[in-house]
Amino acid sequence: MASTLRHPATLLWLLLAGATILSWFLSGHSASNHALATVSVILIALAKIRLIIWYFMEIRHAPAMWRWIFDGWLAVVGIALIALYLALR
Amino acid sequence: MAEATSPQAERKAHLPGEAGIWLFILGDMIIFGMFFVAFIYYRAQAPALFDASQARLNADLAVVNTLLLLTSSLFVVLAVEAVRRNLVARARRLLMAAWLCGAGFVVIKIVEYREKSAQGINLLTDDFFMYYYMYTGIHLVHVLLGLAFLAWLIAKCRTATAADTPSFEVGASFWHMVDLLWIMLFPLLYLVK
Repeated sequence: MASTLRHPATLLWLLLAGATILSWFLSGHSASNHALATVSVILIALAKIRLIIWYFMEIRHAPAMWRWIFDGWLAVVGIALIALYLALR
Repeated sequence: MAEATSPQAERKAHLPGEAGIWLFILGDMIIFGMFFVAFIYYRAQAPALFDASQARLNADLAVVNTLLLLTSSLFVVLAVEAVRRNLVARARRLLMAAWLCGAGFVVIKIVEYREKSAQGINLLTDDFFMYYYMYTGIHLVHVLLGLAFLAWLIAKCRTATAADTPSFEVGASFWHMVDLLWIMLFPLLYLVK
């Protein structure tokens, strides 16, 4: 039990849960600057997804091709979301 | 199996499970990637309507659901590690905990759908709710498939050994994908303003 609590995956889970709460807070307290809050929550989501792919899905140990494919997905989706959001507002 | 759990950086490259599941995961992620981008594009065509409809959602339930999927993923990570160490009884308990968190997600999603239905909201209410129901509905189908996969692995634990690790890795990888797709659906549908 103690080893589970100190497990790297458990610490990562704490970070992911904390980031979720932070996104919620940012979105609820963004009366003055919606764009900053929105870009922040999208970036936080991308960072969370990268951590899940890298550590939970163990892609950090996968052949280089797969690491590039997933980072490529993150880059394309991230840039498209943020660029479209900012350009069309 | 020592090399698979060693912290050394120069270990042999290893893709969990088998290549087939990764092609499936990649295909699903590309489709959802297009869903995400389409949502941001169509939101920009009617931002006032999207903001007004978003305000009718219950973000608290979505936060709880995000935490449930993250917790479920943690249990699955620990379960795969247990199978690798041939601790299948421990893996079984962890997978059951993961399954319960996933089932909790489904229950909360149903509560949310019923809440919307009671407010007279449905797929045809407006564009925002069309995307909301389409995206969360397709995602929910993935959750149900993942739960069926986890249930199969729980049953498999009765006879499994460390040699069955690839099956567990396939199920785990699919489940983590279900988690990560929700990680982007949550801010897009509930938080983006």
